[in-house]
Amino acid sequence: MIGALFANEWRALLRDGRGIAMLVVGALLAAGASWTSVTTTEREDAARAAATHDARCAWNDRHVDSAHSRAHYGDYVYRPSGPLAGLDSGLQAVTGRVIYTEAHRQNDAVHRPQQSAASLLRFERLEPSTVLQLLAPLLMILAGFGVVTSDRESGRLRLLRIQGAGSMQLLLAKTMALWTIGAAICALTVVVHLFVASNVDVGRVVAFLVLHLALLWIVAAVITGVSARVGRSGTAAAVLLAIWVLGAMVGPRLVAMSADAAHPLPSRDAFMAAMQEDRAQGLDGHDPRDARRQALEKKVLAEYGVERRQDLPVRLGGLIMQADEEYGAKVWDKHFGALEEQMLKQDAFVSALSFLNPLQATGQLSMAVAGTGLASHLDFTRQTEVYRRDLVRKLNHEDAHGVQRNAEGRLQRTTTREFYAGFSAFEYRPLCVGSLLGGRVSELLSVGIWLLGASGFLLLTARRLDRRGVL
Amino acid sequence: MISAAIAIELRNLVRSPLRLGVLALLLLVGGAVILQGGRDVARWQEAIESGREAGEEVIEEARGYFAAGETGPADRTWVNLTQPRWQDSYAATRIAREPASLAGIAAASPEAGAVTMRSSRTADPMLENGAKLENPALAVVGGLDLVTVFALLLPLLVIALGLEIGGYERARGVLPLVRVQAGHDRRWLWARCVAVGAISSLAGVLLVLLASIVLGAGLADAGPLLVMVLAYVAVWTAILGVVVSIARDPSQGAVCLGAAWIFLCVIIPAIAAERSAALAAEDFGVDLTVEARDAGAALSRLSDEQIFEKLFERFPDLRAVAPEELASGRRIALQGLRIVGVEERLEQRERRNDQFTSLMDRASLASPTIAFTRVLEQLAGRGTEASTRFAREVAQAAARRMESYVRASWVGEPLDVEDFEQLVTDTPAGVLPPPAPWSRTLLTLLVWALGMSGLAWFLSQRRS
Repeated sequence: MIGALFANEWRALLRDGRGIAMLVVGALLAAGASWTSVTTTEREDAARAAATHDARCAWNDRHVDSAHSRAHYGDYVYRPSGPLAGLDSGLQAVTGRVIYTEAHRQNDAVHRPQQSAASLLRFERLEPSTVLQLLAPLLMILAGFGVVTSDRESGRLRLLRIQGAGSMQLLLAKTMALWTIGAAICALTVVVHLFVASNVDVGRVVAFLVLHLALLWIVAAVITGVSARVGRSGTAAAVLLAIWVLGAMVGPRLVAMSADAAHPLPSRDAFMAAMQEDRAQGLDGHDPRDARRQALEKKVLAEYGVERRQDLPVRLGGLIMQADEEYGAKVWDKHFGALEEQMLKQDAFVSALSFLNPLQATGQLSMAVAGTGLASHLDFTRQTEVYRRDLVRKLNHEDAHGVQRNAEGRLQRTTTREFYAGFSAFEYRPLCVGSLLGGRVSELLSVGIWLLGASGFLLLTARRLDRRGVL
Repeated sequence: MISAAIAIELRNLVRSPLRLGVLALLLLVGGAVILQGGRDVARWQEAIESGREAGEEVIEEARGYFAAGETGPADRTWVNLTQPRWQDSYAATRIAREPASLAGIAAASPEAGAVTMRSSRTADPMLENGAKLENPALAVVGGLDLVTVFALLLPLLVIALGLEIGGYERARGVLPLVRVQAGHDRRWLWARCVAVGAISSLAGVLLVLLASIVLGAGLADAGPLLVMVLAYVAVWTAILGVVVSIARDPSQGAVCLGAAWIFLCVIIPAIAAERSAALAAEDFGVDLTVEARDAGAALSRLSDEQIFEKLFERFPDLRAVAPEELASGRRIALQGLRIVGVEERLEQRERRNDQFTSLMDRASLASPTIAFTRVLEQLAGRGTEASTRFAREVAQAAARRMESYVRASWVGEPLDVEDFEQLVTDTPAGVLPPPAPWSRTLLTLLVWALGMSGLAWFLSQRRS
């Protein structure tokens, strides 16, 4: 019975010009968004590889300077686009693309080229995740707001009921018919991605597909339920569009604003000043009169069993720089750690409220699956800092130990071009989907609960229809 | 007829929980975001103030040394305030990007660069971050401010109030009655649309007034905002007129209005945002990072004559104080060329940004929502133009510093407190955003409103 009803619904949707129009518009949006997004991401990856190559060439071609000069010269790390950025670019538009890694300081990511069209950053990009999370639900609403009301208004429902169709069977068939519109858009998006993208992470793509199919089922069930519960098609359209505006446009913005108000971040000036104050307690590698520097000098002299720095077999400067770096690392860990903690509190606030809004929960999960969410961004900055510390540590070690005393007893550098050529460029290792989704338990639960809740809503609506005989 | 239509629409508004709900939501959210905007501007001012205080502290320290007849702090003997290098360092006052009086209406705009910058000869305005530390996960949502409320929610108010106009009359067969009683059913429908527009405008005016009071904006600033809001409501009222002319029933009207809103407020902006991402795809700022860092090395391979000529091209007055033995001034000349490099990169960036400006121009014609959002950000002094102007001013101040540094270094005479004070007073304290070019956007919105009204007239003519 349900199969026949489902086929019947599909025929009705196709007969109605609106259903066809929505399907065509959805297909165009899905294919267009998937294609442009993948090509943009691939151009971005190519440009990133070129920039990394340029930075590496600059490093290798530089004259053989002192290791400390090289630590100041530093290296540039370019943000990767993320394993599934072609489907969901996540936070990329609002995060800097370059981090300068150098001695003495941990820098922020800078350079956001899209800033030049800042007004457009207020709007979602036309990418697959936008199509599936915002536009496909909308198209389903426009195609299906009258899925029950128009049948009721035309008396077709009563006819179906007389022929033996149960309320639940009817609602389920209508929901499935609507869902297949969304599922078709979803499948097309993924298929185009698979065809166009040169590197495909199948596991992530499957997770992305399943997640959005679940969301679209929730949307289809809510549309059918609302359409069955209200009297007129116009009212159903108004209610469903209002729900969409609240869920897709107003809700997430309100939640973001509330999260910021509940857990405010310090201003950049205050943050930098606090860090500078703590930093001032450490060594100043460039200040020969600094008391802590003198204490370290004494310790090193004692370690090597000599009385004057001129007799040391190592360059004291390199050891001091490394000690300063280690102290600085503690300061940065403290301040950047606190900042990260505050961001995670904001994130937890948003997660907690995702139970109210499946669109928002899906958005967060989608970014997690794509490796373009907050966790991935923070992980990228952490890995960059690990790279920076390792780079500076090696250079400081070379600065201290890459020397020998000549016949006159003066220290001479023994650092070679090969030493610098031995450094490799930063390579980001993305977090696995499991760990990213593991950090999004609230959203997973939210989608699960909404999935059950929306299906339950259908069941309750069917019972209500049976009880009241509204059909 | 208009007054009768307004009375009917007001009665409909009071009787309909949906309409009242949308109006209440608009006013409540609008009020909340205005207050939030006020707090954001206060934070901006705090950042400027703390920057100024930090700058003043250092200047006072230097003045103290001069007053005591010292050349610098006793524990840092290498600091010598009679040298140009240290004068520049101690006189590095902060240049502030002053907020416009309506800055609070666009509090959710992405940070457009730094709000204060040290004005020294080595300042580089292109890679500075903003005053706010942002959680990207919140920033990417787009935020909620008065610009969003006006751009996205105000049209929804027009839609909610006018949802059933035309379709209701046709479905219920009321129109023939109107025709018999009043002679013109089209006039009646238009009168209802205008009434909806008037009520929506009133809501917009209330929010503009509230924003002006809370943010302390005068009539000169709030006036263009008010005009823009009214023009935007006029566009949506005209779009309502188009739908009213074709809707057979309320359901069709709802779908058409929803589709128009989605198309103009979501799909076209999404396409433009995607295009913007595509334009930015290959820009990893290599010119500002790797190339900028290594530019000095490339310059150092030039001959003395080439270096000096390049420097004199930018600072012709320096020719008079150049050392006879060029080699002795080479190091300073190379430093001078640093700011020339910064200016060249800034110019290249501005040229590169032209493609984004052209994209915005085209997108603004395609969607009144984009045009309206853009001009509101410009009125708020948050647009790209404001940060570009600030960067240019900082670069110019840095160039003036560099010129005086090179001159003083080549002349070689010890500097005194008067030279120091000159450096401080020559630095601009603040940079205001450029005036918003709102007349062009007003024209765009009026063209949209007239175009839609013409289409509505044509469709209703055809129908009758």
